[in-house]
Amino acid sequence: MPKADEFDHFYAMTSRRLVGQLFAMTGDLTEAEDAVQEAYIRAWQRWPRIRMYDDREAWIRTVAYRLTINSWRNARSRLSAHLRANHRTEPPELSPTLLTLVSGLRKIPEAQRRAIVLHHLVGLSVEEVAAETGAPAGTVKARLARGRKALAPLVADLDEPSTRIHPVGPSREAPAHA
Amino acid sequence: MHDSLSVKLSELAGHGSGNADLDTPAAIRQRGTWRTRRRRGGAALLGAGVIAATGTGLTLSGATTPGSTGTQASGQSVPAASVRLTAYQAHVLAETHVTAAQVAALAKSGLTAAQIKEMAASHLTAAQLANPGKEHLSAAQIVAAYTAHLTAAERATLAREDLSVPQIIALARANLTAAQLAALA
Repeated sequence: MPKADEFDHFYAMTSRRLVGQLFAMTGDLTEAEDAVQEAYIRAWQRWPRIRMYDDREAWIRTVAYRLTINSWRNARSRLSAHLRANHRTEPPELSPTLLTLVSGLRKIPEAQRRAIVLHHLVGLSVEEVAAETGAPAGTVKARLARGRKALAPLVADLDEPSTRIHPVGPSREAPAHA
Repeated sequence: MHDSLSVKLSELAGHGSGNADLDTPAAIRQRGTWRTRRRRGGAALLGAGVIAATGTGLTLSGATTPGSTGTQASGQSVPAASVRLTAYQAHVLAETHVTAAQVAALAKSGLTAAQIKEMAASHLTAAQLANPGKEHLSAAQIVAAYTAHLTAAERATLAREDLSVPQIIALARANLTAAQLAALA
């Protein structure tokens, strides 16, 4: 498959799903879109190398996440979002339940939020979360436990012992949201 | 159950992915390609400038170097002689104690005259550029910083050199050309 076609296919299959994951991590859709697109631009600049990776989606997710926590970039993103605001249709508002969840996620530390999303949304095991975040497995377990505890008032029955959760979302590189 | 959290997170992510406003893959590739070309173009210009400077003995300390005309070059493709600083440029930089080493460091990081002008116009300090999260930036400064498109290396160099606002303004007034900056790098 030609290089550009391969990239386009990868982008079409994964970009929207990654925006959803970043949105869950940041609670800001525009910031998630901006960071994910920036990560894809960087991936294209290094595509001969990135295309050989086993899990290219994880590379994009990690780069996009790092971009969202870069304070300098955040200032630029806010401006970018402001400039784009006039050119996009306002997305429908979140339901009260999801707004409460976003609010709760924003209140817990970034590291816990990231672990929660990677484990409970993306469906990674504790070891896989540890590999992606660069933290020891024990630390990831602690982050998950603390994050769940903080979110417990918002979501029913969160206080059961940690077990591997089967991913609810689509599997990796399966077609993203149509 | 943990499933409950997974379901709610999935709903949240679904809202994000369903309402995402993304560029086409072709547009993403185009932006990546453009950046790569710009970077390579800058490197080529830098190399050309260094070669030109080798033959002219560029210096910041001299008030007027032989052959200086006092005018400021503006094009990117310039003859070798124009990499010399004019008397005006040397005076403006000396006035605010901008050293040759500082200009060389800025040039090495890839900072362009256009970026310096953006910073000078909005009185952006090196400290603000180095730590925007902690420093207060006005709307005009955010706009200027955004327009300047400073890279991490450029911001790091600005922070290291710790240039004051008057010094940055002096650099903007000196209006160093791309060839001059490249020659100093």
